[in-house]
Amino acid sequence: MQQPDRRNFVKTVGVCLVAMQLPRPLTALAAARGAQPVSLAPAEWRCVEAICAEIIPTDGDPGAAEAGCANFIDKALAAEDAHALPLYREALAAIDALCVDTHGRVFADLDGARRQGVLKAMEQGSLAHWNARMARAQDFFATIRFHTLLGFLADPKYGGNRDHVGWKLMGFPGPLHMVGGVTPEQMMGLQPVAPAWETPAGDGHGGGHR
Amino acid sequence: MAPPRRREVFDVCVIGTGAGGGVMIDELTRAGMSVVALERGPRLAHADFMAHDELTNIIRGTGFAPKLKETLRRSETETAQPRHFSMIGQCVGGSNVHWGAMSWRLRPDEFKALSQDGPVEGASLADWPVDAAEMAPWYDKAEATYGVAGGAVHNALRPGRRYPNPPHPPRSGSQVFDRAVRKLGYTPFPTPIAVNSRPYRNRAGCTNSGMCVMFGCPVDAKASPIAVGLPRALATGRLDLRPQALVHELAIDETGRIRAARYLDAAGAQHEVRARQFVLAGGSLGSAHLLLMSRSGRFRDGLANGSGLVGRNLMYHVLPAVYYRHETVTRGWLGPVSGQAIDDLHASDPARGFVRGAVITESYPATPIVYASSAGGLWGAALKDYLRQFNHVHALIGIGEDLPVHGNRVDLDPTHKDESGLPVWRITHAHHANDLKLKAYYEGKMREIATAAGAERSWVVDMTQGSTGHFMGTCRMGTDPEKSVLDRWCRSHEVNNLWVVDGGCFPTSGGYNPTLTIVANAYRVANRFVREARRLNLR
Repeated sequence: MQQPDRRNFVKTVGVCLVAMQLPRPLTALAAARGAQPVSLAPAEWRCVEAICAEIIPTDGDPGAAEAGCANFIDKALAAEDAHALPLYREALAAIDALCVDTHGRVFADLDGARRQGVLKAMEQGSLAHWNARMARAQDFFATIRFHTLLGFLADPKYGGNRDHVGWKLMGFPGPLHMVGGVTPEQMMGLQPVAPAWETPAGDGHGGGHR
Repeated sequence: MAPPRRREVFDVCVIGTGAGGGVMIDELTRAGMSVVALERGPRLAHADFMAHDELTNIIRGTGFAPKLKETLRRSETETAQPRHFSMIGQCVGGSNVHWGAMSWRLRPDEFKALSQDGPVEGASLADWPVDAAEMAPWYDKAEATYGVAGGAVHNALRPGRRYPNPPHPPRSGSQVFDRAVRKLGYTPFPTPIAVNSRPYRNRAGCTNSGMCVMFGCPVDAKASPIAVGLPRALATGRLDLRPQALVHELAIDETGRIRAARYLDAAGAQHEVRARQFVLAGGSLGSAHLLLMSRSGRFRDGLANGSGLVGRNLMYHVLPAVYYRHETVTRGWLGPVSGQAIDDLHASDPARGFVRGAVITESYPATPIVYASSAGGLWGAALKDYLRQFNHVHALIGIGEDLPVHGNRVDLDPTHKDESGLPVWRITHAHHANDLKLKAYYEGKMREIATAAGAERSWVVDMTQGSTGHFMGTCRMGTDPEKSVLDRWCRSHEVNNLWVVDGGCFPTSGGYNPTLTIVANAYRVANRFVREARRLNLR
């Protein structure tokens, strides 16, 4: 890679603006209170949901929409990530405003190709008319991308990964400590391992350890 | 009922309850000494570990150091920026609670890197003041108390010996690694791992339920101070264990010996505890940080820092890593981080274009968010496909010896303070060119292994955003007080009631995970400590 291109690449890479290494127990509490929005106004929720649906799309398998990633983000923005709520507000308003200016509709009402075009430009920091001051477009993109991943893959108690669709997509059986021992045969795949959500705690997998 | 009367002066104050501290606490209480243990982190319960999910614990949250503030820069010419960089634990038991438990003996030449490979420009290589023969019985003891599981042969250095626990059962992905390395003419052996493969010494056998590395073990199958040494120490009645005690200064008396440790409790209240002897085991970063904060007229540059080396020569390994996609399902989400390893490529060989070496281990992404973090910036259909491949992504990880460099150091940040008003520690670090060549070499070798395995594709991965939990070197041992902080017994050259028994005492880093060496070395030092105490040489 040419030096000038590399410098530009490093400059444009987005920085995630929420803590990656933070436990989020208050988010779980907020999610436990129900799925009513607590941070995002209806238009903001729609925009978040539409962005999440492009980051982890629905194809033959459930995606961010089915997992409830927007719900996770809404709860996180009321809890450990509350410092990012003003950024979200400003960025979402900026996105919808420039979509209306350019395409005549808000982000959520654009077709898939146009939505992806907007997000690609955000990711690269080349989105025209980005007027949010709190962060560069690529930083907001990195942030909502990470939030979407958390919403898709964190334990459902945080408000996302509804019906364990994220874990099912990955073939991850969930936390197994409470359901008992896994046998050597199960380690080799000769016997199945039931996912944690299908096994009552304490039932074990039949055998424990030798 | 009146509260228990607190002692006025303890025999020993141990600061930090991780791998080194846990051993010292156990051995010294066993020898009849009164010990006060000050641990900055909380005391976590097994019920906590049972309930941990990945977000509660994400890459070392909760017990790990959620409030840790540090700053980072590459060189002295830069201003360090706040960044949570260190993947260390801060709880009773320290990083030794969430570790992956791979447990190795350093190779004989890894104690003598300077003699073996000569000086390297820009590096501060030094020989350890001990050798493999002296360490051998202490490694025996460490393996026995930690219940290391492995095969009959660790590597060519110890044929015929058996580990305390037999090897763990393989997973479906293991045969892929096995076939691939054998095809290339390498000799795989079970990775020695301090997780019980059966009930051992009153601790359960592993339940193979996964969520092992980066999590505490809910059944104590994985060895740790909270499973092994601390329960015994508490049972003696001679241990006063104080969690959430943040030591910020060691106060000296008029003779230059440490008189007291000053700490803040969870409510921010100030306390002082007196002891005759002080053992620092706060980790390579924490111990150096405390010494540097403990300034006085006699020790202007920090306690026991006449050499100027406290905080310097900071090392943390390089971790070359490759993922590869293979048609065989891994089942890497079950069981501990075990499997096999190869050491055929470990020996230092300057003809390769660098010195020192690394072990290569079979590994797997084990949990969803950690795996997803390796996706780089992928989104859309590409991200979804990446997530879908989880069952088929195998991994290879190397633990690469990095060179000590005088300018790589931890010191006190001049600007940033933590919540208690203490200066945060500032890490200045840039890898020596040798480290980068070593890393690139092993990445290439791992991709060859992946190809030999029949991988559909393979790619280099940065497991940890450049960081690790393996901090070493900041209070190096040596025979010359001008070139080292500690003597061969991990005792300060200058302050005769100060001992530092964590990874900070390592002069060089070796090409293996450091914990078993920290534990073995602590047994060696504890033995000396107790003998000196019995000879009334410790006042």
